[in-house]
Amino acid sequence: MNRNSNVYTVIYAALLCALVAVLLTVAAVGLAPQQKANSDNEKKQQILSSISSVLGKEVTFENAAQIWDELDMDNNMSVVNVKGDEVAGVNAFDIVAKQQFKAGVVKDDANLPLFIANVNGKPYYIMCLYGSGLWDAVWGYISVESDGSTIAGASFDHASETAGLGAKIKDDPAFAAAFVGKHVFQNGQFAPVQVLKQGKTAANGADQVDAITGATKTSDCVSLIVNNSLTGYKAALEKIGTLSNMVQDCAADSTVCDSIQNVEPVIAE
Amino acid sequence: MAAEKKPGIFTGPLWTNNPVVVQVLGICSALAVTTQMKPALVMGISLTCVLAFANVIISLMRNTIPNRIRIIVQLVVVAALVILVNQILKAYAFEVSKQLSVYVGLIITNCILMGRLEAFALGNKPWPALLDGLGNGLGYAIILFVVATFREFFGSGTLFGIDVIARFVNESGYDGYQNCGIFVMPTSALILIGCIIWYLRSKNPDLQEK
Repeated sequence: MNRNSNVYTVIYAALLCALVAVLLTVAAVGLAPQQKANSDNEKKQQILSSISSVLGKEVTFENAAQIWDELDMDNNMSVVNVKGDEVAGVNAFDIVAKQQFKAGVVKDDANLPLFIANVNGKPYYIMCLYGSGLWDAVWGYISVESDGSTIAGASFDHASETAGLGAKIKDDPAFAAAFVGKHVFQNGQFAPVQVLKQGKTAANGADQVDAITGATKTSDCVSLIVNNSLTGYKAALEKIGTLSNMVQDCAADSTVCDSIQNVEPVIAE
Repeated sequence: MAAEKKPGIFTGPLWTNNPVVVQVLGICSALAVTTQMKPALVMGISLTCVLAFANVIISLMRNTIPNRIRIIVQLVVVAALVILVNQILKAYAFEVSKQLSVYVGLIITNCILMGRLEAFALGNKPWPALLDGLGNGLGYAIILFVVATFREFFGSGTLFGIDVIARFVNESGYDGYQNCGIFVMPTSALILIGCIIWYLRSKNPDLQEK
């Protein structure tokens, strides 16, 4: 048969495409459950990594599921909207962060996941971060203490930041660790921690974390992502902070305890 | 005759006919993934595997491929292979697949692949094609590894992520050491590869342009 005839070429191309399509489909469908289990486990690892300094140990791919169950995280998550109210009927774990953002900013009708880890009797509120890095998506989780402002930890991941440079947001534990103890609010004003080059200071008095050398763009992106994502949680964090203050006041003076009931709970008990 | 040529097919690309510094293929990824040794090593190994398999498959198909769509056929085979490998890694070696993520994509676009498929596999039997694939893959891996060693050592002061310089400096008590920032930038890879080409050409008269 003439290998250069049109008929041969078309049939050859069609057969090859069909063969490859079948092969890849079988592989994708057959391997999907295992891949889903892996990515769920990875998500648990990322969420819990944001409180690894509180847990006092590194959260790995292997021990993530175990820690998750120990903290009973499946029953300690909530969904909030940008007004800080709880949204019922949505599973926080299944929320796709990407769909809650548009052009890097939290949508007005976004459902934002809020995970609450109770470690050593203290609650830690874990929020999702999402946005664009230098090349592709960057996401992560950041946790705050019960005052709604003091950061207890953060974890970052990325689709394709440059290895050895921007990829350090994930690969270098020191970068995420630098967020510990920084604040989301300064003197009651919303001013989340920023990632800045050494020597620079934030104009609005926000806390700062050193940028990664050689990865200025990725560092800038992370700064923006933290700011934009936390903007969506701002109302919820204010409620958490208010509640925390009231609990403290209540401990000092029992007459104000009643007013706690009047604050709409962010978290379903 | 063919038996005599085999050693050359495999060993040639390792140095005297190296894909990166002599054929000047695959430079793009050689600049991108050589800031650290680990990704460079992983990339080198992945490319070697994919190139060897793709070479053999294309070589087996070589007598059936219609001439006019041969490049597309090559692309389909390479893409299918890479996707398949990626899917399997995601299911059974999740950590490794995370490390490889962007590099797997880069393999598809690596000029060495298309170059070898087009120049060698289309006209040779599977066994020489396998050797050619392994040789070129390893030749690429060697250059990547050498460049990455220099860049990681001088740029970050580490080797395989282990803090070599900092450890040494701390022991000696001298604290004024600064890593050389340019080694983190892709520029340094081009300079290093240029130096390797310079050395290679000065040692090998066959490569010198008269």
